[in-house]
Amino acid sequence: MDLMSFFANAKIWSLVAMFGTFSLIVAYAMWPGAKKGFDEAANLPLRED
Amino acid sequence: MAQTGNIPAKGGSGAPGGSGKSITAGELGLGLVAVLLAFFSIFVASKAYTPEYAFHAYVFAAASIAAVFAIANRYMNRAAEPAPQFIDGKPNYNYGPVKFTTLISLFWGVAGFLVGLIIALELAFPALNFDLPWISFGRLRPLHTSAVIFAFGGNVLLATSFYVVQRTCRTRLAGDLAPWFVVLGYNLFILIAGTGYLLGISQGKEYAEPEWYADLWLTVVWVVYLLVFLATIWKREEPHIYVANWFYIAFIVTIAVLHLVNNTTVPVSIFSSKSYIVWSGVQDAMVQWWYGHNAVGFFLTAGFLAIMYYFVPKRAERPVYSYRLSIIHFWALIFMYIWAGPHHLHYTALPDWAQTLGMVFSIMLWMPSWGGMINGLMTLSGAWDKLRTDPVLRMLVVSVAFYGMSTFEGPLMSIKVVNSLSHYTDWTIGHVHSGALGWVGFVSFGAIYCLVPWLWNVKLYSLKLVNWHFWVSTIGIVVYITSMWVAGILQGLMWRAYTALGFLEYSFIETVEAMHPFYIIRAIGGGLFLVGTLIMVWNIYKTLASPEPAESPLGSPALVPAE
Repeated sequence: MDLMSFFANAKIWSLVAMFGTFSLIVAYAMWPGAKKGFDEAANLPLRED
Repeated sequence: MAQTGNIPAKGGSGAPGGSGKSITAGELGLGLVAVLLAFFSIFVASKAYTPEYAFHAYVFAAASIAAVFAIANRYMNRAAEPAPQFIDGKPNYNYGPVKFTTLISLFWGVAGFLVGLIIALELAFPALNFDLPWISFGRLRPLHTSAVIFAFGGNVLLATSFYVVQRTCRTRLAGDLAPWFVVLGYNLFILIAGTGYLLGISQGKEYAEPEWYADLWLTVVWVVYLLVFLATIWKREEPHIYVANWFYIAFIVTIAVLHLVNNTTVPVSIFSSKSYIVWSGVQDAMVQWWYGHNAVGFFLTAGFLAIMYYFVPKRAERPVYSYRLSIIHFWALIFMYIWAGPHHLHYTALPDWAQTLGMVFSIMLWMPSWGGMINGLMTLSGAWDKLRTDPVLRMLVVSVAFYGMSTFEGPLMSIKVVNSLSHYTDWTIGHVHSGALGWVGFVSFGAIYCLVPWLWNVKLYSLKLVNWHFWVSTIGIVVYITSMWVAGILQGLMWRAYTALGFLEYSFIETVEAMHPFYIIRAIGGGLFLVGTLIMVWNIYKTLASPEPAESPLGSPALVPAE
């Protein structure tokens, strides 16, 4: 594989990798069971010590 | 100086018994490094090519000697044991560096806004530079931008990040001398950069003007900053890392990368302030605006969104509207901002596809930007009445509204057709100031009004004065940005106007003349903004000079709803 075709493929792979990573982040954020943990986290600044 | 490490602990009254006190490796190491830096700086000064560079070497020498004395003085006055991590089961927060950066940000803010007003007046009345090179527009302009962004904004970010990371991790700031090294070292960088501009030392790259030696120094300071921040998160007592801290990490890491790549220079000599960048031609331009736009995206946006995510919920006493949205808009912002830089180079030698890419990503940024704005504003749902009674919260909320407005305008201006009208005109200046004054300025002021009572455990001197600050500055911003809109669009239209015979209708000097009234109006707007800031400084001065103890342990005034 010469350098140019490597870069041509790299464009596709990096697109897939970045879109895949972002999809995983969205799935993590929207996961139904995560609601309780996020609610607690949102209240973090309001708790006093 | 050379024997700093051996200074006897004769003044160590803080240590009962005194015998157990020994110098730490950090104190000894940093002291020795400072001694070496002092000797090296004096050596460089003695051989410097120009007196301006010699002056900077002497500043480094003086700062190093001062550091040695400060370390020795601190050693003699401190207790034998290191500061406890907890007192009575509560985290023993380290507020010293936070207090320092909070107060010095006020000084840099006033200085930076004042220089802005001076150069605004110089544009309207060029004779005001009195033909002196040091106060010519070309030297004062980078002084203004660096003073407001890096000196004022940077110190606000240091103050709030060191405060927020401790409070949300419920742990003392990591490091003993390191946090002080960061805040003092950063302000030394500001001093070197600012005096350099006045003396004519500049790389000539917008927002990256400081020369190679200042850049190296900032790199050291910034790496220590990152380490202090990460080490504090590492030893957190709270399992979750609160969203504000992610924004701070993104800000610190990205600025480090941008700074290194955009300042990859080779100095002419260690005895010269001059250096040359390794990138050339359009690559250099692209790297510069990759840096420049992400300085906006990660310094002025990510860093200040971190402030929003802590101070708006805290002040409104409401949790963030949607924590899920905060995660998604954070990552969307990170993934997209980094590509938007080419919109600064529309219709230049940059390849067309790169320009279009920059434009497309800028337009896509609408979504994550507005995600942040919606999250900030909707945090107030159910607590909107507080805007009537609490001018500090009003300031914070209006800052978020300005954030939404300027992140709507930015993508609009990145569209090539719009940019062909707006580029190089005062519209750009207006856009930058709606973001800088409205968003960054107001969210910083709001944070400072919160921080001062919390840090010193006192009551804010006057909420009425905050109200005055809010209205005077808001009117100033509106006057500023509307005058620049009109000026910019007029300028753009005059530049592209042709006669029936195909000649340009206006000479360049005619377009300059047409700007004169708008420049005066702009200076009035900027002047009002400065007056508002002076009201704040007076308020903070009175708060600290004649302190009234806070009612609640937190120090946030118990507000009475207007029912």
